[in-house]
Amino acid sequence: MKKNNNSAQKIKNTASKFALNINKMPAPFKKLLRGVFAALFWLAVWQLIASAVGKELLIASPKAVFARLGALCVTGGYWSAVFSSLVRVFGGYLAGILFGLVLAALSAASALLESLVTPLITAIKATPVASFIIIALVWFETPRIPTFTAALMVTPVIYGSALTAIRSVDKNLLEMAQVFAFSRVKTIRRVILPSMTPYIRSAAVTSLGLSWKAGIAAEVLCTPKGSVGRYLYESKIYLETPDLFAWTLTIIGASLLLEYIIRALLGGRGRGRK
Amino acid sequence: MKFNNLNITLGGVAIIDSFTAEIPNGGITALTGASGSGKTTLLRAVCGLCPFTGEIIYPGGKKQSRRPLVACAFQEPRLLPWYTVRKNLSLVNAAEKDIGDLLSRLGLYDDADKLPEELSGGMRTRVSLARALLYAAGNTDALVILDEPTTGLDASAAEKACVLIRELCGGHTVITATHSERDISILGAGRIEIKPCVKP
Repeated sequence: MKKNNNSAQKIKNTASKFALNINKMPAPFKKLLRGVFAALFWLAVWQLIASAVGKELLIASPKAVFARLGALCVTGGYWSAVFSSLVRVFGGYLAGILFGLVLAALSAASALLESLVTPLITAIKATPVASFIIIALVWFETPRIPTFTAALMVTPVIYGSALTAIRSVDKNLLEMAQVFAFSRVKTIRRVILPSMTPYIRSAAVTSLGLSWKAGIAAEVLCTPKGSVGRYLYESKIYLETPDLFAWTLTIIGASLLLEYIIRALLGGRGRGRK
Repeated sequence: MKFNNLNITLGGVAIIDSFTAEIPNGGITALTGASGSGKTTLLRAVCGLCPFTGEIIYPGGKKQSRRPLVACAFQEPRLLPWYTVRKNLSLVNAAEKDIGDLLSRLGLYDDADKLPEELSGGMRTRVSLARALLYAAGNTDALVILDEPTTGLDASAAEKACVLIRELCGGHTVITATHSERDISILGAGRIEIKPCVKP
């Protein structure tokens, strides 16, 4: 009995020491630890469900999926598919940003142009992605459809944010620029663009995920050769569930990576010390 | 510099009515008057930021269409929040050395690399004044407009600011709006009183 009490006390002491150590850890490390814990938790849930269902065809186990992902990663076709899908969708993403910015600038410049652009943006926002993809199948060659679809997803988001940003530039700062005889270029560069940056940054990050998902959906429907969407579609056709899950993990991973890169490129913090 | 029969109406309300006055070129003139009498509106018209009828004749006989450069310290500091104090000042094409010297004299040298949001209200007012003074120093024919340049400063800082204005704006035509008799006295400024416009 006494021995049992001692063991319980030891366990309690170890647990409290561990808790104390976690509290003393630096914040980023704590965050990482929490992330790892969350990932392990959901992997365990996945494994439990897969074991309960007991059919790889319906739910592939994490082990089978990671084994398949490992096998895919050492093939050239896998990386080529990921790269070509990224290029296609990212091209559309950039085109969408550019198009959204141009339309916002036109709308800000003229009420007439805004009244022309607004219905177009409303129509793009209201139309289902699938409709765009099918329309695009009629209009474009297969490899261009994901690019077109991704661009359409990005345009309204960027347009809305950019227009709000242009309209919310502080009038007092514009007057200051006018009084101190800033040139038009200097006013845009030093006053207007920095004012717009937080809005555009936020919209660019939000629309990245949208464009990636819509681009892959377009690839699934139009199956361009050697694309992630095509492999995803084929794994569904041939009932290769581990492949289906492995490609889905790839899509999620690529999306996270893209978001990380965009956040890093656009700068994570609002205002810089310049 | 002359104001001939100047009228300013904003949103249907007359702010300045038939204002006529003469300001000595190369001197400092203080616009005084109760709050809401239109001092800021008059200064905005001089800066070209506010429509008016009548005539403003600038130093050198220039009319509104050929308005001279204006070095202005607005009532609010109007600093670009994404740039440091130093960068805000360099945007008016001031030399690095001049910026350092002026910041030292205004007691802001150690704050040169701070963002405006990291400064107190009084410090921001001084940076705004520094920007106007540097711009004036770089443009010898610039008109200097200072809208309540010592608001938010303690007595000592206000006195230093007025001494600097007097010293650095020599030769410029300076118009300042102020409520402070002490400022007017230190600046050695002439005075024009703006009476509130009672017309609807």
